Amino acid sequence: MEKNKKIPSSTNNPYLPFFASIREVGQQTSTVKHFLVDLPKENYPEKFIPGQFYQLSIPGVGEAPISVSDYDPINHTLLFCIAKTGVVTSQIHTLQKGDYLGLRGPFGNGFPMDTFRGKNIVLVAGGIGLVPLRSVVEDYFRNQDQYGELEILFGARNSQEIIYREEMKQWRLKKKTTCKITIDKPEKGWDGNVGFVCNLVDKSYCDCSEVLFHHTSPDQTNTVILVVGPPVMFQSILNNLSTIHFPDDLVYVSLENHMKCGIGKCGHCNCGGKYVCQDGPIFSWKELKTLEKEY
Amino acid sequence: MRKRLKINNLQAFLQELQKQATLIAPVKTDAGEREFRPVEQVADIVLEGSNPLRSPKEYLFPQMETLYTFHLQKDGKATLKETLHNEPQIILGIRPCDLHAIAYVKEFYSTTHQDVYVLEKWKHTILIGWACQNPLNTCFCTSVGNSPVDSKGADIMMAKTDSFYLVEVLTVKGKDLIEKIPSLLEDSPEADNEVLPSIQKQTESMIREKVDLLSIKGRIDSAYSSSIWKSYSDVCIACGACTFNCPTCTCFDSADLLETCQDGCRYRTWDTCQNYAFTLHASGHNPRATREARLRQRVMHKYQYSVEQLGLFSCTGCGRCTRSCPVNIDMVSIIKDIKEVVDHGEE
Repeated sequence: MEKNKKIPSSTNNPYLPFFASIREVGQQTSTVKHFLVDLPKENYPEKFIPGQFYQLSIPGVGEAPISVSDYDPINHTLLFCIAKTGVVTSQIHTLQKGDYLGLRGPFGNGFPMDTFRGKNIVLVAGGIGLVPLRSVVEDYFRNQDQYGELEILFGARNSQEIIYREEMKQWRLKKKTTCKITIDKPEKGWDGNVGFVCNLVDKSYCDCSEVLFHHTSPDQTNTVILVVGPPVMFQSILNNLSTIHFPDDLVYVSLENHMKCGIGKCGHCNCGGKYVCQDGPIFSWKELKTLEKEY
Repeated sequence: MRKRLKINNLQAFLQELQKQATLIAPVKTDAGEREFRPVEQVADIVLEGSNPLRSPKEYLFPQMETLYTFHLQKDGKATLKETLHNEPQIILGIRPCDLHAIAYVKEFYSTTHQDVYVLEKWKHTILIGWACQNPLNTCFCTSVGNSPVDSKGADIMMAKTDSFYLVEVLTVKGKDLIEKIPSLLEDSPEADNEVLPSIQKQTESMIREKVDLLSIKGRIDSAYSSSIWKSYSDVCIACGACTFNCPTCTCFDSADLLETCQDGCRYRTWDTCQNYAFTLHASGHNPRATREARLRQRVMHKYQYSVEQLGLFSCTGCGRCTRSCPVNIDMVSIIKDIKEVVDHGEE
């Protein structure tokens, strides 16, 4: 079917990336870098919701879905924090200031921030799971007077894999904000928390569940808990929360299914009647209970 | 609008169609099979006989398709060229199962973010249906609420009788086409109302079995935890033939191809949920790591998930999965088991 003479063009083709130049690159850990990109004017998002993602691409290499760490609505920059895991992310890691990244998005539903107004927000992140939650942190600080307290609970495999180290120092200094870090195993020179961010095996080993208790008592309806991490990690947290009968419509999880198109067409992220890229990636615990466990 | 076409005017009619656009129809291949292909000579067209093993889906959603080409500049930025195709085409001889399938594919790609590649092709395509008189023993269209003569999705529906072809014009697209070739068609008398119902009766009597899935529509997920899946997945070799021959499977993979250091394209190809890597996370975690989970996914998507999403079964009962399965997994047997489990629970 290659014989057509006239090639039409569509201005509304969701598969076409645009290009944004990289303003800043920074090393977070040995395998994680952050990239701050300048959006061209015609590609400012109509609305960005924390928890949404973009499809990042390098022509000739491929495309990968990456969560947004922050969209700055004044400078129109997007911040991505990318772990080097596959072909595309490895190639992105070679890019420098002034290089271009292909972008499609923003995609996905994002966290329902409007429903969090007036509430305390607890963020529970495992490893690179802190990346999408940072967009919530930034939104919180931009509109802090509209929310209650912010509690950040972050678990890293070891002290070398802590991302946003400098930012967290700053966050701790802000009012109404606490920030706790834990690493999986004891380490020389580490005097902070040790243990999984939620420890199923030995709950007494896990300060985080105590912190959650602290926040959820006395008024559970005034706190939302957002959890991002690998399925084994968020399942443990949800199990813990069920023992204290925490309301399942106040807990949100971000799923990270394999995806290609980002717009509910390629089928890779299909989970029950939902497409994680389009109906998610953010699901309330309540919704999650109705989904087949295929995430 | 309903017309008649004389038997001996068929060739002339097909030649007229061929003048209007690229004509795609079942033609006999060198291997003796019938396949939907662009027609070179209308004499090659074989409308009767069983439905070809491959559906005409590929003329709207090709097995491999370039989404855009790119040219890399020195700064790493690329100029893109969208490769939409809008060549007019007429697809002829589509059985009602495949008409339903095309209607589903079009509906699926129209929701939320529209897939311009499929929709642009659909806009420039005229679909001519063909009432089915040759069901195979793998066919089960009546089980999913379809019929061998249902014209849903067609622009024009045709049916063969002993003495003429019935030509029913159903859409504006179909009317515009027929108006360009008026001389070959004759008026159809009232008595022709009986043509399709009589073919329907005849063909349905030849269909091996009917499993009433409509009565459990929307409740099929209650079979999710059943042991039936394993009894099929134990023999499944995860080859994906069922998905590649399925007229409603819409999943694809996409990748980049560099032709020179600077020029290349992004393309997509059909993909299959039966492949282990289909759901493999970057972290190594795989939510559907077993063949059992993957076989169940395919079946549940056809009968439950697409109902949740679009209110439609995404199985049209064409039986191609059964026809192409190298280890003889029979979809009718699967849906019989599902119905048993949903209606009466597991023993």
